[in-house]
Amino acid sequence: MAKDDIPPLALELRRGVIVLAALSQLRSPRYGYELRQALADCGMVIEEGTLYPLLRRLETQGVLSSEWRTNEGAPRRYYVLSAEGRRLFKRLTETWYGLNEAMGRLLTNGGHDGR
Amino acid sequence: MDVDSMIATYVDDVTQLLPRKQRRDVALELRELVREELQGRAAAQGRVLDADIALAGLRAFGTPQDVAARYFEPWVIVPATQTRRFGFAAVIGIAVLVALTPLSNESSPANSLALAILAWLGVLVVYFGCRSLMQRRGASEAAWVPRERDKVNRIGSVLLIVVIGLGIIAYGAPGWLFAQLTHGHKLAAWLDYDPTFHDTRLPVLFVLWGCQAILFATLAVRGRWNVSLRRVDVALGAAVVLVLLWFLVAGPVFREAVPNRVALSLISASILFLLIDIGVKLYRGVDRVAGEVAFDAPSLSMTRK
Repeated sequence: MAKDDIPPLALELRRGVIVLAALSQLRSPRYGYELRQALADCGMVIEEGTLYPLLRRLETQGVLSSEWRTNEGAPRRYYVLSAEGRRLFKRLTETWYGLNEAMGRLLTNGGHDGR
Repeated sequence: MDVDSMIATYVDDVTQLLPRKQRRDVALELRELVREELQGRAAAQGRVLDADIALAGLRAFGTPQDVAARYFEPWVIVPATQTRRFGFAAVIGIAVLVALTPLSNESSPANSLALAILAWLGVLVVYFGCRSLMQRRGASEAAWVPRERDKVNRIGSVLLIVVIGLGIIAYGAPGWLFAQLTHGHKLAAWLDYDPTFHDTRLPVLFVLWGCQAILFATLAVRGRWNVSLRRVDVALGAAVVLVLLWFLVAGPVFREAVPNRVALSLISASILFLLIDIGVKLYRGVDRVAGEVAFDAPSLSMTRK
């Protein structure tokens, strides 16, 4: 594989977990910038131009609910998991652990079984 | 430009690309988020937020087009999977129109060509756009149904034979047909064929139509296409095009000027449609008959090892 091919493929890999990462931090209400900082603090840096529209889309799909709060100065929109979002988060978490386990097996023995 | 104006412009550029009902709400949220991002960026550099940091930060945020596209699922007129088809249809259509221009009777062929090309591209855009819209609204969610690519619609083939027979009668003896349909009335004299066209050129077309009728009869009996029949089909189509081109250049179709001009226009349009039909058949591959290709596929032989 060419060295130049690695960054786009790594991005592709990260793209798949962005939703789960965002949902994991929205069990309590957060606004966009706060969420991005929380994710970055855990080592998951997500571009702002990706994360903020994603929150809107998830809200449109009923995964998140939101409300405006102005008690800390500037008006901010806080997002939190809806009931459907909590169910989705649970399912995605199970899927993630399943994938993680399978990938762990694949990567540990390199995918070779003697053939 | 100061930072606030820069942020306002950026947010405007993003929200103008969103559906109207989302704009105000997204603008309010995005403005505050962008401001906070930029302040965070400046703080990380130990500086006060200025225009340079703001510009770099906004560029890192993404182009307004990219950011807006992430907020909703935009309607794509030509989806990525259809782009090749769109390009192919556009190029083939334009090539045919350019090829037919020298045969045009128009006083300003360049203007007519430009209009025809624009009309063709417009038709393609509307067709692909409608198709994409239908898929977006869930038409594509219907379960995929396997189809036999080489199976022939027998009833359709028989109907085509009937149409060819009626065509030969209608074009070969229009006066007789008119008299039959109107209890003996005579067809208007201005619809008389040019004698040379009627006696020498028109029968050639009838011979080709007869051959096509035999092809459809064969298909109706066999019930399936094969490579040879597909090649014959394309060859007969090409022969009809050549004969129609001959009609255009060899002389008048009717004695009178007005019906003659209408006939030549209709012949030109027929050539256009036939060429598109042949182009589509060649693009799909006349040699691609399911069983015969799969047998020769190199990837298949590799997997058998």
